Amino acid sequence: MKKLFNNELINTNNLEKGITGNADLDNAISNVKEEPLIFSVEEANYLVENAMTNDVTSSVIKNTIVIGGAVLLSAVFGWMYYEFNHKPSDNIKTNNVATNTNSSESLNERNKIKLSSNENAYSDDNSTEINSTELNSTANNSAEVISTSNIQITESNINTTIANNSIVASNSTTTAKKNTTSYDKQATKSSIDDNKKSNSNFSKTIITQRYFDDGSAKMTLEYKNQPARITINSRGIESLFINSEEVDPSYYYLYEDLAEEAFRRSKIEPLAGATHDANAKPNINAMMTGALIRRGLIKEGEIFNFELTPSIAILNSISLKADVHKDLLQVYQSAFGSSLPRGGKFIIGKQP
Amino acid sequence: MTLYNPLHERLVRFVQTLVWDKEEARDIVSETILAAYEHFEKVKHHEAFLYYLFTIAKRKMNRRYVQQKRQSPWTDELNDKAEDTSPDAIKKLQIKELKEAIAHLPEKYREPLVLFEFSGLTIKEIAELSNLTENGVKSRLVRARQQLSEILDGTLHEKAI
Repeated sequence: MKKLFNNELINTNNLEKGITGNADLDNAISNVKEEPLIFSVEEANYLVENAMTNDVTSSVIKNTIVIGGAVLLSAVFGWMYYEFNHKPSDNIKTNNVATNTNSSESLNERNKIKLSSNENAYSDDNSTEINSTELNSTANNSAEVISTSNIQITESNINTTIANNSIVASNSTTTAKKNTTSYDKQATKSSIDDNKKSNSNFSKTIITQRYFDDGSAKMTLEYKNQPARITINSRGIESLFINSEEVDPSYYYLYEDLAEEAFRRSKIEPLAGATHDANAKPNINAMMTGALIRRGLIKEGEIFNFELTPSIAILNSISLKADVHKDLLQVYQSAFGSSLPRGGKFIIGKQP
Repeated sequence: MTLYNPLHERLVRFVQTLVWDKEEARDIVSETILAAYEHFEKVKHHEAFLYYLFTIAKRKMNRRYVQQKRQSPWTDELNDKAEDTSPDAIKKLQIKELKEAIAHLPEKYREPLVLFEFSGLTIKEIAELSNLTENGVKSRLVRARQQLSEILDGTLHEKAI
């Protein structure tokens, strides 16, 4: 085979650009410099203009969210404030009702006691104990009331009467307040929805969303008031149609928000980034590295050693848990398109 | 964009020489541009924009492709093309082989070489960007060229076997 590069000595004295002293190397450098740019300046300008528009939109969205959030929070806090303020009256109501019931019961019981006491004025200790037991078992929570004197029972009756009044009052106000609260909530929600509709690039309605056996998902949604049809899998976008026109994969990056929304809705993990062309040659190492980062197993930029086999996953010489191992096998399968074969090994980094 | 446009080609050449996957390279360029745009207020002097832009690009590449250098660059596709002896194919092969050799250089040599030879930065600019002295950059460039030649020669030797 013809030698692509000769073995001429490199000129170590001349540091002029593209003149290394090796003619073939110089030639190759000039060839690389003549390669067409992968990203035009027009695209860069378009990107920045688009980002500026998005900034304006996002600031409007932020403002709306802040205002909407404030309204919602005030409604919630108002409702909570009311609930807490009126909770005691409800408690009083419940307690007093119970007391009322119990007190009447206890009164009866007390009468019984009295009767029994009177009848058995000279009864022995055992009979008294039996009566007490009966009282406790019948009156349940009203033990205190039962054990109180007649004066106390009278007081409790008074309380009950007052409480009964307050029950009516609190019931009426609670009902009124709840109605108001629910109305506020509805109003807030609908205003947020309206804001979302007016500011978002997406309609809230998913027209179709289908999943396929190969792990891909296809969905049609409204994007910037145009019908968009996107098919994604974990390696990125399989196809994208905006207004029935297929988008060239080299322009997928312009639809990042659409792709991210599709991944979010389908709950598919974008292993190579949301706008990656799923039909392009996958970079399994990068995908697995990204997956490890997203799972918090490594940090971005961290140098690590990773080994994955069907039976074990080892990260930096530490064996990972079974569920993590299983998850990473799934990541490998999604990234590679087929499962790791028995006896197979996937390695990133140098292994000891 | 007044500041950016003159630097566009330099930036894209820097990224596309170091990142082989076209889509990944495009991603990095666009992310760099957007990050530069988002935090533009951090640039206190217009002269510093070049360093600011290339620093972002370097970080983006380091973050996303720290593992890429470990991949075997000699693909089947390249082997297939090696059988093609047309001038255009040889040119493409030469480009690929050069990029592979660059990828095999240690990072401290690779970056100054690409910035100098392909992005057209001056030695002073590279020194500023890499926190090195100008002499330090020069010595790295010389070593990078030497190692590049050795790698290319080694590649040919391996292939001849």
